[in-house]
Amino acid sequence: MRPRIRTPWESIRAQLHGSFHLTEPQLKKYDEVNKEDLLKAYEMMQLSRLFENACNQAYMQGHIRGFMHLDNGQESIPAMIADTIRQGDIKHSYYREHTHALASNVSPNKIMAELFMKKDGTCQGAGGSMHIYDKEHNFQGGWALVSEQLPYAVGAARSILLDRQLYPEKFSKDDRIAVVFVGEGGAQNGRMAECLNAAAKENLPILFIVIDNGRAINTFTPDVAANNDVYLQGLHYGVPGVKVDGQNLVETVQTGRAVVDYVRHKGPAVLQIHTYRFNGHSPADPEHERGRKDEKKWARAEADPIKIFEDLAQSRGWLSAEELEAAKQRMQSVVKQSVDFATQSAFPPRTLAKDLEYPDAPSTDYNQRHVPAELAARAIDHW
Amino acid sequence: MERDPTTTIHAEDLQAGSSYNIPKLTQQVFGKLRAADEIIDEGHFIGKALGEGMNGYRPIVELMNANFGIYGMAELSSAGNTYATTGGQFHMPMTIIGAGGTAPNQALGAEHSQPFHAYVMGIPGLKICTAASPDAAYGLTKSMIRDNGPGILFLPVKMMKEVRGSVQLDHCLPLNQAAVLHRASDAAVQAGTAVTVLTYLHGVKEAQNAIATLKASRPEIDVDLIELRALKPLDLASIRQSLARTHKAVILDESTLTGGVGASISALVHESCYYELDAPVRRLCMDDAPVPYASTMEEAVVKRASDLVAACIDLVDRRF
Repeated sequence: MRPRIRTPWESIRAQLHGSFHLTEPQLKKYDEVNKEDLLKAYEMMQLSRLFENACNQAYMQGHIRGFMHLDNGQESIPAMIADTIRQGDIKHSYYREHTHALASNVSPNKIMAELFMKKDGTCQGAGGSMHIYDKEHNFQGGWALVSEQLPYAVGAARSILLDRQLYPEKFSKDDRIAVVFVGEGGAQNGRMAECLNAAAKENLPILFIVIDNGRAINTFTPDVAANNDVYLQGLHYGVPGVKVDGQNLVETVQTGRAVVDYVRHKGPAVLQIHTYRFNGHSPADPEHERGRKDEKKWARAEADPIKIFEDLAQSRGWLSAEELEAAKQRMQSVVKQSVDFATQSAFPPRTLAKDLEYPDAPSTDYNQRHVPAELAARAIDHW
Repeated sequence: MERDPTTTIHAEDLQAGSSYNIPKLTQQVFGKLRAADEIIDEGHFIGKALGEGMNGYRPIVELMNANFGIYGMAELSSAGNTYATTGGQFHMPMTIIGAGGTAPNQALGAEHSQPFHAYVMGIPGLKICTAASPDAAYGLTKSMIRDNGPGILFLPVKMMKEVRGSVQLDHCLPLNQAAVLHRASDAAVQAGTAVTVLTYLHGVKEAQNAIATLKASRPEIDVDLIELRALKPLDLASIRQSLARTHKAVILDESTLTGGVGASISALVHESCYYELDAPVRRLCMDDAPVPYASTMEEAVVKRASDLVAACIDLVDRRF
């Protein structure tokens, strides 16, 4: 059995002071989360849960096919993302990314339509569950190969620095960051070490969010990982990290805010969020993980971040039962709308795959391609 | 890189000029952010290039040896997928250049002689070109950098330091056209003793040597030498035009029997030019074996000018 960890705010605070060198005035900013923000965070948790449940149902009805990986149990993470991450920040995630896209303000309608293989989906139906992308919101995947997203996010972080170099006047106050999600299993891949190194060497504005649910597909991660404290991997490169109890929404948001601000202004960091996956790896994978049935039963009953927050919020008088219920209802209607939208949308045409083969036809005459005047002017400035 | 400030470059040994001085002085001129030295993992920096490509930049990646691209297969594949899988939202203007492949007596051993160009043929969205001369390399690279999808340009290791020539400055070459390097005489065509030779990379030099040998030993035999600068998509039109004259073709292929570039080309030529052919396309390709170090062993595995001469004679003498 994998017990929950406890990370009271005082203990996180001490680590933020020790490892991240945050001062007392800086730390004070994160001591409280106001009611309005708590309600928004709760809404995002409900949106995530209800959306994923709707996906599960649609999958069983045959509307969604192939591989689909649900985020039930891990909802405090999209809630924290919605609270701290902005449209301009560049997000790279893995295949369990529906809720990350929701948290990045990608339209639930378009996500559900993508899952339903419809042409009004985020990728016109070409991608599916593991490949949600939204250019406008800088949600850059949706990647299926474990850890492949790590170097892509490092490249995105480099592009932020390149922007500041290329357009100094436009980005003089730029504090965008790149955010990359990876599991604690995925973080055992060599890519993690390389990317921590790259982030440290160039002091890149990149946050590594490690979603630690103790399971690497069907493997109990400690069976294959010598050290499960991924947040300490950064020590070798001078990249600070911290681990938080993801079943406590408030602590997760507080910690997230502090670490995100750090990355905006100082340098790269690792945020490991200890959590639980309520479902199997995916509906397509058999659930024969050793010892999982008991753990899942226990986690659904005792480690549900939504229930834990509801109890806490009511006992502390932050939010009433009515406010919580109303929030849930609002999200329920958003999710229903997304399913209706997906159902009514049309399938993409047969010819789309061929049309999408190349952005530029093979016969393109590149002599006619010109650098826009504004950019060309900057080329001269470089000298 | 001067012309377009959104270009970046990544290479191992970048500061030191890498293998052939391709990135020479880029860091001094453009700075460390645009011209990045890299750790030794092609997957890592092809991956970073992918992230830059998704965010408004045009990354150029030089592979110290094209073979090392094997480390970046996953990332290269995802680069090829990006435009289509995102439903057309994201361009992926990545350009990869590298000298690789093999040549007679190259003696670089199995892991520096692989046909990476064959391994990547099937990657969707990837444009694949080859160059065996400075003007081709220059013009194709310029186009690939401007192209909004991923492109990979292969160069022949053994010819990097020996082939010289002039380039047409500021001129971009098309990414879908072969180059006719030698045309058989009308006399040979009329006599039925002309052969179409399809080749690329080091095969170009071997073919030029073969043409000289044939002139001396069998002067009636002449060659339409077509350099396949565009491997994907393939320039079938140029091939068809030549076959309409010669009706016989040989492929000198720097990749293996199974799954090689020549196999794809042969299939395409048979499918679309069947009625132009008087004989099956003759494919001179590497055996399904790691390229051996010893030259005496390598002679059997890696086909060369002497094999091409024999094949042309066989086709003209109707031995097939």
